[in-house]
Amino acid sequence: MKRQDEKGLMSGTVSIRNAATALGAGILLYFLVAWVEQTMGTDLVAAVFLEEACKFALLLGFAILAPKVCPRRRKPVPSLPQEVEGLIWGLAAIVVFATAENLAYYAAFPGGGIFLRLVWSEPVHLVSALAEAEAVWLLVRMGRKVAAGRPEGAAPRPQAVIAMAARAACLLAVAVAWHLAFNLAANGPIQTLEGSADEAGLAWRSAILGALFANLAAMAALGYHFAHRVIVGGFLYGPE
Amino acid sequence: MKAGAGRMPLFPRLERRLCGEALAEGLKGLSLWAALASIVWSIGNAAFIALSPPWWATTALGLSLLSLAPAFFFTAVNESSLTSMLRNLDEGTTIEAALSPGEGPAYGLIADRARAIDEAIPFKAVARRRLFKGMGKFWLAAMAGLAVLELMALVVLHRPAIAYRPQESATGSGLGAVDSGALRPMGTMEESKNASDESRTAARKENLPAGGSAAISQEEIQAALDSLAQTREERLEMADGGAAPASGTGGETQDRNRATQKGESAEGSSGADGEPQSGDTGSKAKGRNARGQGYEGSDTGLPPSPLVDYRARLFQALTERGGKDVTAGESIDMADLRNYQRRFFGSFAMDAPLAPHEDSYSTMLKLRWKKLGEAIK
Repeated sequence: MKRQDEKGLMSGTVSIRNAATALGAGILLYFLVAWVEQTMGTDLVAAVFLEEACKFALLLGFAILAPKVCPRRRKPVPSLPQEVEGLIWGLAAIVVFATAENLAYYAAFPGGGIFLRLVWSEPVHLVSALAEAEAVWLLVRMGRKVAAGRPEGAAPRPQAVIAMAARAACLLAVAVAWHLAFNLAANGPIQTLEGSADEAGLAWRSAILGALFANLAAMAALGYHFAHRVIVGGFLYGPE
Repeated sequence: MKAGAGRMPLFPRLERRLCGEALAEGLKGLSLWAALASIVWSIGNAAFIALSPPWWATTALGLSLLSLAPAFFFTAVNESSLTSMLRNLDEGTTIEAALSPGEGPAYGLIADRARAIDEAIPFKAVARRRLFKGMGKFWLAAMAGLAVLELMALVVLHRPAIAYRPQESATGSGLGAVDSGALRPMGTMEESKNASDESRTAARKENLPAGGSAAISQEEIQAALDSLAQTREERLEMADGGAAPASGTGGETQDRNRATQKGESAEGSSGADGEPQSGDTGSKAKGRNARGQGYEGSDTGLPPSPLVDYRARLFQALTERGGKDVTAGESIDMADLRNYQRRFFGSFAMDAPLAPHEDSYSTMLKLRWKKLGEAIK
C-alpha cells in the first residue's frame, strides 16, 4: 500500500521532493563555503572548522525544519521521527556537497588523481557528517526533554541533559578532528612521500591504503551506530 | 513509565534485528544506485558520442555517479520496511503495545510479555527478504540505456563502446592540460572510421584528413597505391644507403653496380640526403610526398625501417672483399643453386666406417641362450 502524507502526496513524490531539496542544499552549501573561504582567505585549519560548522548547521536545519516544513499526521510509536528523516536527507545533501567539491577539484586539477581524492575525501566527509548527525539527534532529544519538562513546571533532569550535551560535544570534536587530521596528512606527510621513490613510495602507498581502511572502518562503525541509535532508536522510542 | 525511556533500551535484540533491516535497505538503495548510474552512464555517453564534448565529460560524469553512491545508501531506509520487520517478529503487536504512550492497569503484564518476545527474537525465523524486489524495471531501463549506447556507438564509431573516448586533440576544455595517465583517451575515432588498410595507408600517404578518404577518386587511390609501392622501394634504398659508407669509392662502386644490375636508382651517395636527382629512375618519387620512408602503422614522422637490410650488407661485403669486379647477380641459375646446396650440405655428411665389435659377455650370453633353447627342444 502506498504511504501518503498529510497533503496526500505519494511516497515516491515525497522522495523526489526530498531528493531535490537535498541536491539544492548540497550545491548551495558548497558555493557558500567556497565563497566564505575565498572572502576570508582561510587557511587549512580554518577551512576545516568552517566546513564542519556549515555541515553541522545544514544537518541541524534539516532536522529542525523537516517537521515544520513537511508536517504529517502524527503516528503512534513506533514510527520514524521526522527529525530522523530530515537528518537522513541532510546526509544526502552532504554527499552532494562532497560531490560538488570533487568536481570543483577536478576542474582545477584535471587528471587521474581525482579518483584517489574521491576515495580519500568522501569517506572523511561522511565520517564527520555521521558524527555530526548523531550530535544533532542528541541535541534534538535534549531540546525535547527540556520542552517536555516545562508544562509540569519541573526542571528537566540536569544530569541527563548535561550527559547528552557532553556526548554531542564529543561527537562534534571527533568530526572536526577527523577532518583536520586527514587534511593535514594530505597536505603534509602524504604529499612529501608522494614525490619520492622506492621505499618512500611504498610508504606513501601504505599510508594511502591505511588511511582508506581507517576511513572505511570509521564510516562503518559510525554508520552502524547511526542506524542503531538514531534510526532504530528513533523508530522504537521516539525523540523524547 | 514508557519503554526505553531509561538509559538501557528495553528491546536490545529487536533493535539489532531492525538495525540489520535498515542496513539491508541501504544495500537495496545501492542496488537502485547501480541501476540508475548505469542508465545515466549509458545515456550520457551516447549523448557524448553524438555531440563530441571535451575529453573531461566522461570522467566528470563517472566521478559524479561514484560520488553520489552513499546518498542512495542513506536515503533507502524507510518506515514501512521497519514496521514490516517489526510485525514479522512480533505478530501479536505486544511490543508495539508496550511501546505506546500511556500506562494502563495491564501495562506491567504487557511489558513482561514484550520482554519475553524480545528474548525469543534471535530464534525467530522470518521470511528472507528479496534484496532486488521491485528493482526489475530499473534494471530493464539500464539494459535499454546500454542498448541505446551501443547503437549510437555502432552508428557513429562503427564499433561497440561502453564509454566515450574522444580524440586527444580535442582538449579544448578550458580546464587545463590533461596529465598522462589512465584517464587519457586511448583510442581515436579516426582509426575506427578508416575501414580498410589500403584506404588508411593511402590517406596517410597523401596526408588526407580522416574523413576525406571516402571522397577521393579512383585515380587518387591508384596514385596513392603507386606512392606506397614507391615508398617501399625508397625505404629499401634508404636502408642500403645507411649501411653503405657515406662517401668513397666503395659506396659509389656499389651504387654503380647496383644501378647497372637492377636498373634501379642508386641513392647510396648521391641520394643519401633524400633529394632525388633528376634523370635517376628514383626520381619517380619526385613530386610525391617526401614523407614516404617508414614502416606502416606509424602515424606521423614515419621513421626509417628498423629492419636490417641483409642484402645491402651482402653487397657491401662482396664489394669490399672482392673488388670492383665482383658483383652479386639479381638471380641465380637453378643448376648452380643445386650445386651450391649439394656442396654446402655435403660438408655436413660424415661417413666413418667402423669395424664390427663383439662384446665377449654378450657373446657368451647368446651362446648360453642358444644351448638352453636346444636343450628344451
